Amino acid sequence: MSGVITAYSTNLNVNDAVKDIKNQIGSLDANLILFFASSNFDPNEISRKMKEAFVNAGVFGCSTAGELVDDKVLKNSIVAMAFNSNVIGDYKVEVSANAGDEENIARVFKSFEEYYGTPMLEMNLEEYVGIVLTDGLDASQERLMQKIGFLTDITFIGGSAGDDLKFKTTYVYANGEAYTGATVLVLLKPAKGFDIIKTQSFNITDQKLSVTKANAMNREVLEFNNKPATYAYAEVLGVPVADVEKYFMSNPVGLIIDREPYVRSPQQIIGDTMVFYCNVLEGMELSLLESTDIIKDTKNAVESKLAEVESAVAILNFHCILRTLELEAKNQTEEYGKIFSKVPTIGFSTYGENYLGHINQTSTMLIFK
Amino acid sequence: MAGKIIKMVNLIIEKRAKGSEIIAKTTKAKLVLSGIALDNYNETSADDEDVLAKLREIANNMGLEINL
Repeated sequence: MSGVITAYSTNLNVNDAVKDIKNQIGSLDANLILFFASSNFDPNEISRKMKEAFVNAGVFGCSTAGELVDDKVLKNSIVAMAFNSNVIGDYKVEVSANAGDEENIARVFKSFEEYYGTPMLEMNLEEYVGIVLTDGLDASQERLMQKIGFLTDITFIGGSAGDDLKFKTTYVYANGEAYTGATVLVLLKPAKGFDIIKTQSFNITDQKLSVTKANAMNREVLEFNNKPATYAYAEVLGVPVADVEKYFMSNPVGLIIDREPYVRSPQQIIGDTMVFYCNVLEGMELSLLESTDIIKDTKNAVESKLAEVESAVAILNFHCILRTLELEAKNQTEEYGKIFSKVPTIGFSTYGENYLGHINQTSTMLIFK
Repeated sequence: MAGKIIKMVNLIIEKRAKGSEIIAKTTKAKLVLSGIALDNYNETSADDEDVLAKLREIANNMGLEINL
């Protein structure tokens, strides 16, 4: 037995769904349970029942905008992964009740340091990895990830909770409680190591957009290249201003770091201002991106990483809702699921992924060995 | 005056990474994600006080002492 079991249920009755999950996990001596549940489950009930079902394990998760399990892409379901100590040697689950409060992150990190007996800045990068699940609607992800990045070099990876595109309330779950406007941080000590994939399906074009005026708090760009944002974006696309919204999904912009794009996806236009799904700061130099094939690129990324890792036993996939929508529009959902048929996988459609910073339109994955 | 920004960037990366190539790379990424367009600066770049203030704040948040 590998030490990992995946489970899922599409039964919308909480009691029955949790029973389903419990039965599938069976007799695994799980020390940690991670679950992702549709927002159509009552948040307090699903969190409490999951903890009651696995009293001897740490239990955490979040609400979603769609779920992934092994080769399936689901809606209105709950998916779970149970780990035993062969995979997760140790863990510490903490909650920051106010996702944007930087002092809370410092408190959480102090707790990690006390638990593991090592300062965060001295932890071995290959021995520890963090998972970060945070509120998907409070626009605090950049501050959160920046604070984490300042306080540690340990990789924290994760996603922003969803609510099935209702855009009203999202939840994170930890040890029987449900929280909104909050962050769950889990510092793991995997028993046999881990690896990471960040994949997005875009070519970097030569067209540049410099952010010359922005309102970071509202994720708004007022000017690119000293011109009204929508005009400058239309200009680099070579299309009329009235048409630019049609290009948001296929032509977002990217912050390029070591030839890799960190995607910032446009959300809407207000006047001449462009609003993004993540923070775009004054002074940033962005490149116009053009979309490529999600299936082909994800398959390549996953297969080459699995060949490199050899002994992968589990994948957590933080998969942007914008990619889910694109796959649905192209009728490629099933094909996407099949990419993960070889390794036990769970994941969810996020309202943004977290890796070094807050990013959009990626599948960002944590692989356990 | 010129070149102070790239000097400060290099010092932040050096002090944080302490010789680790991986940490040097992630620190560079964190600076870019914080709005420092690293590719725009070299030894001849003007000392933009706003950028220098931002770098001082980042260094402070990282717990690094940078004296230039």
